[in-house]
Amino acid sequence: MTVRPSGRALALATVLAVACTGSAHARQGPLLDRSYTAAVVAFQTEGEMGPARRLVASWTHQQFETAVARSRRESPQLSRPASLLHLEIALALVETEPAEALWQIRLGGQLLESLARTTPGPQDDFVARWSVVASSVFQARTDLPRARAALAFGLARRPRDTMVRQHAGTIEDLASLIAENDDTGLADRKGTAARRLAYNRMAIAEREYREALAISPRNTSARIRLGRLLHRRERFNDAREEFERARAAELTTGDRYLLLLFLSSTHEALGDVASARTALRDAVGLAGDRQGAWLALAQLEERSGYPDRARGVIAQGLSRGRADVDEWWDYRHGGFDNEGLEWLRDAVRSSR
Amino acid sequence: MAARRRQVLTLVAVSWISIAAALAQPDQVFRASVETVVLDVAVSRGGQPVRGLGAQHFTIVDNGTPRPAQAVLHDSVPLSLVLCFDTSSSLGEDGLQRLREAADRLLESLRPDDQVGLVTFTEAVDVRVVPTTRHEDVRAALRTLSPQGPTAWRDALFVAAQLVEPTRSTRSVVLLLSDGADTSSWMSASQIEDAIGRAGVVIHGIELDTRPAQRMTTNNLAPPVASSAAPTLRRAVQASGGRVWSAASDGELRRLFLEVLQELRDRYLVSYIPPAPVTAGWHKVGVRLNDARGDVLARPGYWVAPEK
Repeated sequence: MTVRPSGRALALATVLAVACTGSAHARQGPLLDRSYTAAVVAFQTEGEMGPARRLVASWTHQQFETAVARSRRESPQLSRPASLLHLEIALALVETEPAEALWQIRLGGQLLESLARTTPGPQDDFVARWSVVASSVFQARTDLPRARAALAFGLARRPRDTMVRQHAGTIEDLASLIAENDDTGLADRKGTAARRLAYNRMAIAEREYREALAISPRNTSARIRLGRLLHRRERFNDAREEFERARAAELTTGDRYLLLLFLSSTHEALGDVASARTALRDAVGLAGDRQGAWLALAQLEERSGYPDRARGVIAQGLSRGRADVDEWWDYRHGGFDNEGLEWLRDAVRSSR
Repeated sequence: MAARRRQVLTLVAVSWISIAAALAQPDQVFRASVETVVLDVAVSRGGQPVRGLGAQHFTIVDNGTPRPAQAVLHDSVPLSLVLCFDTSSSLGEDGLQRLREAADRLLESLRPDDQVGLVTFTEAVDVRVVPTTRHEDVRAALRTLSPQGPTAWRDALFVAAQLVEPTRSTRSVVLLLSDGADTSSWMSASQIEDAIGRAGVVIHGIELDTRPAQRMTTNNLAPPVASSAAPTLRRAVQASGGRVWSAASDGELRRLFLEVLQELRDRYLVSYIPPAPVTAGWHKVGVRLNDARGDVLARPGYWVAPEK
């Protein structure tokens, strides 16, 4: 997160914050309100986080709750920037204080309560988008209990939003991946429990993905993930069917890359190594700076009895410049919804 | 048949060569004159290596058929060693510095004709140095590392194993250091075991336990739920006939690296002629000692690829 200093907002908020912390709580209401509002406005107008940081450093939970309650009553027009501010605070805190980060997310949810009662268009749903980004703050750290808790607001207020349902699916999908991680083949009780947990999570994830697709059949990202989930549940023909449907749609480069990667392993599972190879060659042709496809192709060649080809693919693929992102990595260990965060920031900026 | 032989050469720990001829001409590509399988075997008693064994001390059971050892080589065989190091964020800067120091000590202990390479991994895999006798290249590459990101040791191990094709008269070894559960590999747990079984490379694994001091440097990192990599890592190492070593802290790496190196030197390269005809598929192998006592550690079999 980039924070740019802003002298005027910083000075104002500092004065207000210092004044605030020195007062008796009973007399603090207006001061709390003013310093909180100043922090929100500084953030909204100049992207300035300094005042908010000082509040976080000096305020108690009770002071925050008081200020948020007053802001909800008296400044409903600030609900979007204020909720985004709390999300940004959570993002800054999550590494060192994840419990505090979740608390900030809950405050943000409170600020969005009145907005959540309105009915926006599907392309303009700040509440749904905010919920998904808030949850991904924790998903990116594979902190799935908190990711679920952060999404609870969105699931309660936007149960018919395809993004929210898809995200609920990705959390359970990831939980199943973690449960089976490195435990496959274990014969002991721990291994059995892990497999059972993975199976249960996969069932919930499938239900959520299907719900997302029922709401919006054009949600190809959900379809690709559903296909992969069906593959993992060894329903390979069903998986291939979903992939073929997704393939016919218009896709982002990242989604198409992920689709080709997943499709190749389903082809291979169905015994069609030639199609698997073609899909992976298409993937490296499409996104040659992503390492996942090169590694997958090398591994396929080695498994198919062509270790020389595998070495060639490794030499070619791993010597290239590599992108910092790989949709496979995000899928595999949980990614942060950067695109969603930018959407929220734009929405707040445009509402100045 | 020649094509078939080439596939076997590159796929498994089966060298279709005469070991003696290979040692006499270490820079040449080998041509088969005798169909020979080579196994890298450790023999120990009470935790100490058993030295001084010869061909007469080994019998190899290949798919149930006992075969006498034809030749045994010991300490003199040069290494083709790939260091495969986890540089994920949980290692931290201090841990990485201790890793560099330990690796430096290991490099100092190598012989001039030993080859060494370096693969590092986080969620991505980087081939830093392909195996070379210029050991200083690895030392220089180690200086450029920084800890970041999650762990993809299965993909990294696959890549490292492909770098040490067992076609020459060397001990082909990967030394894998990792400290966490794999959260990013494309390769599954069962696939890495199979791939290692086919590769013919001995894997030694060092599990580094950094859990008490989990460190994070960015928002998008390894999970707090990271569990021991032991089950899959151990199975992959067993499939290669290697050993897993545990380090309770990165401070132990220096000692462990030297212990691993000594183990590599103490192992025997045992060659034998497999029962004819050599069929495609998995060959289960066991090693027995004759007139000697000790615990034997070797790969449990080798793979012969079907003819294409």
